[in-house]
Amino acid sequence: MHLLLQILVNGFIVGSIYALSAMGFSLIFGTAGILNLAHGAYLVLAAIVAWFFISHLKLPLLAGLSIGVLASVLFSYLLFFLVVNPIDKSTRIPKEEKGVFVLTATLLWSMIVQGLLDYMFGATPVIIPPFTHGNMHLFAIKLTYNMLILAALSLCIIGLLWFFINKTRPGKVLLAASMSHTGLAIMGIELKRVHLLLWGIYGVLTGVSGVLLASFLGASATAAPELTGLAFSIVVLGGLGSTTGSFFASYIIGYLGTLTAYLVSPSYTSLPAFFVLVLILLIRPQGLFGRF
Amino acid sequence: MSISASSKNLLRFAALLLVIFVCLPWVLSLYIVGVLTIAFYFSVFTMSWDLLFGYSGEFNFGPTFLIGVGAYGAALLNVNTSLPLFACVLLGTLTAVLAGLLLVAPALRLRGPYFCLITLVSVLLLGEFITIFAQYTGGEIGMTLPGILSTSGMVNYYLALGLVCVSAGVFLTITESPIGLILQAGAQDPVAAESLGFSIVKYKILAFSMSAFFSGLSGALLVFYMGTASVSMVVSISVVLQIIIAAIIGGRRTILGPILGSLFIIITGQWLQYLGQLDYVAVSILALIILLFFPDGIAGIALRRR
Repeated sequence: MHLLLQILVNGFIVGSIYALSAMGFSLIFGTAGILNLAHGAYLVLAAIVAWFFISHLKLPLLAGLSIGVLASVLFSYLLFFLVVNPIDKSTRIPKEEKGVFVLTATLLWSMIVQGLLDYMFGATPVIIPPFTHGNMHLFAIKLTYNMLILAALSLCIIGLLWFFINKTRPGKVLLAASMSHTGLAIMGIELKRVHLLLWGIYGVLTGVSGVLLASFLGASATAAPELTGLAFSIVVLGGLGSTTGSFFASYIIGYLGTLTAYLVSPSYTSLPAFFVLVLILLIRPQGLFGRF
Repeated sequence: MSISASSKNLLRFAALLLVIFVCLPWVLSLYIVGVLTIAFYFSVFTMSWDLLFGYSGEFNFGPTFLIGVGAYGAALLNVNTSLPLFACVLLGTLTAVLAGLLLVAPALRLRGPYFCLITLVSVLLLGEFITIFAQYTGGEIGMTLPGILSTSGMVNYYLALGLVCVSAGVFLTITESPIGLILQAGAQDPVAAESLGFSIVKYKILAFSMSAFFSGLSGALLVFYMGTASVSMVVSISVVLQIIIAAIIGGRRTILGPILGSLFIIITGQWLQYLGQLDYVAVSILALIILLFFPDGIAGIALRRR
């Protein structure tokens, strides 16, 4: 009973952070049609930069975290201007092969970011210090306040994102972009600015979820491909392009991982996510809520 | 079609290259001969990948799934049984073919990014399994093998060169025959190809098993050449990237181009090794630049000029 409660609570917290980390990935695919294989590297980038500023340069926690998020935004724009946009504009790459080129290029980009992080900060996993210390007891299970803060923050940001997309004008533009780029251009909206907005939001979302993830589970440069795989599993299970789907899928994947960690072994945590991905691709490639 | 005309030119070029490579070890240092040997095994990986991508239209993000299964299959047999070396290589290769057939089912069902994903995951899963069963596979460190192909650098060099020639010959025969055209038709419009009476399933199975056969064979021979099998050598995502990049640099859909691309990637990698930890970053940046500015690759540029 005690174990069951612990799994329920931990799975919920992990799921909430996963949900936030999958949002950016889902958004960028739904709106720009880009599958960013560097996603995991961005999560790790924000976490490691934040950790460096907090534990080595002794910056206050929030300042360090903001610098981590800024780094993620900066690299997000670099990815757009140096890689994604040139491929999109290229006349020499056949249209039907552009997707493949983007996948390869973002995977390369991921390797570059990961290699640089490894070189500059070392490969040892880092943990971002908790927001607050102390813990509480809830029905005989131990909960740190930090875990609660992480889950609450994740859910708040997802809520804000939902509000932004559905209720504000720039958000609605993004929503429209996910339906038709041509339509947007005809309505007199400059696509360039849409892209700038999109990649900026992507950087912020991914940066924030990276530091939250590292505050709970820690982060290391070598974990980047695994994190990309995890985001993929979530987004595919929920249905590519469906943010609602990703939201629910995060909890499924979060609980599966937590169950495995508690009942089998913590080193197998990412395995069930991959099995789910393979199964869902074979049985129902459009996912639970998919549009494609 | 200008395909065969241009490939005749390419063939002449290949013959010239072959003569050069046969003579090379007599003038080069043993170290460079060793690097070239690795590059040869690597070019077999790349050609096998090009058969799937360039002709069959399957963007396989997991060539190292096939290579790794072949390599580790052979390595595990070598360590745990007393079978002769060639039997280990053969059985390892057969396991790789089975792994290749495993990919046919998703390939027939899934299109575009979905197939990429499932192959990418297959590599991640294989890596996880190798780490989990570390007591048999040596985990991250890898396993040292009792068997070794040959102690002579020359013998190894010509063996690898021979493998390149055989596999290039087989791949060219397939792709230049009507089978190559049917594969391409199946990639462009499976429904139209089926309506002409070609069984796409049959041809996909052929393409995947050929690709897996040579990937597995080359992987198995590579580990016995090196004397070790490790994830970073035959399974990791960075190897996947090197293969894809080598194929793109060399020129997709040319079979022979990937050989040039592989030589380029492996030699540049060795050359940049003085950068230490950053060597892989440098190779990736270079690859990214080539990907963005010369998407047709070396062979692509050469063919377009004519």
